[in-house]
Amino acid sequence: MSTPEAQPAAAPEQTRARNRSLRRAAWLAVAAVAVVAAVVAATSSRPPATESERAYELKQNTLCPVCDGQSVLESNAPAAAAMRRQIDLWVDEGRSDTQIRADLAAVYGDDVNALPPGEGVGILVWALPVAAFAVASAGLWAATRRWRARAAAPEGASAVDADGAGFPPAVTSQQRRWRTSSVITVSALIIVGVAAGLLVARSAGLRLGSETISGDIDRSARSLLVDAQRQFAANQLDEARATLGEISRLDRDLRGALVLSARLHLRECETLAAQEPGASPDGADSRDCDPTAALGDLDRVLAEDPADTEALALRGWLLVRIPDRELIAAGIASLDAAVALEPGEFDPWVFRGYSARFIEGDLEAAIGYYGAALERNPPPAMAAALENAIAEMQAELQ
Amino acid sequence: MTPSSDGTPSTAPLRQRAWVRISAVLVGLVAAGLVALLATRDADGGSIRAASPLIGEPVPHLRGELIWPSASTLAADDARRLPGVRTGADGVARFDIDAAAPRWVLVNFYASWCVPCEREHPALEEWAERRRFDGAVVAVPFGDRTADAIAFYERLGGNWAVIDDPDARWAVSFGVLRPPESFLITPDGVVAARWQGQISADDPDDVIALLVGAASASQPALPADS
Repeated sequence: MSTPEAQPAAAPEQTRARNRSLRRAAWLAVAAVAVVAAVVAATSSRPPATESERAYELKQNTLCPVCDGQSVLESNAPAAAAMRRQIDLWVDEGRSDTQIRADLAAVYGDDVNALPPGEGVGILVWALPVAAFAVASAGLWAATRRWRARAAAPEGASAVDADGAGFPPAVTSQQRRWRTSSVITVSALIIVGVAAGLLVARSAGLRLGSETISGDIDRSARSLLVDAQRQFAANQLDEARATLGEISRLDRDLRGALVLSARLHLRECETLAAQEPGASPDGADSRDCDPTAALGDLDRVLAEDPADTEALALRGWLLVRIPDRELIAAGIASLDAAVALEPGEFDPWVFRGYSARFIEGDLEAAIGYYGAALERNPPPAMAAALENAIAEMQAELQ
Repeated sequence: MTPSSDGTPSTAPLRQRAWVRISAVLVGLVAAGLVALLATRDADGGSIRAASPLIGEPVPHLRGELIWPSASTLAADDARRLPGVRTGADGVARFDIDAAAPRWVLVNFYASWCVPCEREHPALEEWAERRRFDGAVVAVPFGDRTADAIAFYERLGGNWAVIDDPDARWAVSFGVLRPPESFLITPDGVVAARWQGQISADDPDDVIALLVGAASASQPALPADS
């Protein structure tokens, strides 16, 4: 390596100082630009705006297991076509990116992930470039510092080199100080570099567990619907209603949301009916019980798919409880239509059985419907109630 | 590392040379390690018995509408006699791997355009015949048009269920790479083995013998007890 010649000693002390501060400012500016660029690059990757964009990115980041280095997006292999189709279906179901990647990796192995996991050996992929950059900068910094020191002390260090004499005591103390500060700076830079590398690794690649790739990705209408259904099941009706409101802003025609909205109204009406008449309606607000709105939701679902048993059953269930002969008849027709499709869920059968028992007074038919409901794995409390009701009706028949 | 014999250079270049050597050795070590890592990794292909993350796991709940035997080919009574096949109230025959229990199930992914699939067809027939009391074959087309997949069986026959997989859902849940591919499922619904490529009738039986041997060594009851 070549040692730069000594600066002309003729330059006045002031100019040299100004030059030095100018140079320092230039370096700072370069560093600032680099940092800002890195931060912008790291944070500006905006989450996909639509579900198809999300599916596209997933396909891009999933490697075809039978072709070298092609993503399933590009490959024509049947396996890649199958995975593309499955990713579409899963995205459609509202599964999160994390879940889809984990499910694919569980079957095809981790190698199908184009983004290696940010943990285990996969850390290296993310951390090494960052750490190497930091280490290299540290090395460069240390090297330039030594060159400059050697150039600035011509009568010290280079004199030693020239005459080969042992250790001049004047230089050693200064050199020792330099060396200590160099070691400190270099190790600090390396530590910062490794830490930055680990941070990048943590924010990259496949995340496991409950972590999401990006908060925004999981805010699709379908994943919100999953939230709303969970809230409804946990009897958090206000939360479920808020989530449904959010869904309707994103997708007004999501079928599951319309059905859930009808269920919500139904639940409110039941709560209202269970309260003593005249009691202050603090538990359920009467405006939340809106059978007309619920029926409207269900009719929209049925307009799209007349064989949606859940919507048919709910519609019938809402109608048979309105004290109006015609509406009750329409409700029973709707329940009959639902039951005729032999749904695998138990509630249409329960609804039909209830109306047979209490509206039509046909106990034998009711026993049959309740029996059919029992075959469809209702929760234990419901099963017990159904068995009870069947026993009561059988006693009544005899 | 040798100290300067002639005594000319100072300590600084000497130390530098040591640094260069150390870093060269480090780089060399890393490179050698990478070579060793890559060289000892499992190569793709080779043995026909393939690894799969599914082995030892519960089998995906494989089910679907039959495309073979077709309703016209086989009376509903016969179709119902096929293991795992149920005819619903709507008259559609469906296969459900849960309904096939407790039998050994051989899940075979095939395509009409695939030559090894055609070659292994007699092996499937032989295995199905050998295991007619405690085994079941179910075939799933992969990377094929349904019409062609049915034509394949119309041409070659096969006394077992073939189910439709239009969305390649089952191919993905089994992680199928290319046809033919076969999976052996134990009577209690665990994926026991996977084969990529053409199999013989003895391949699944070897695995069964191994597993039943291990099971009867630890407990006298055989898995196929019903």
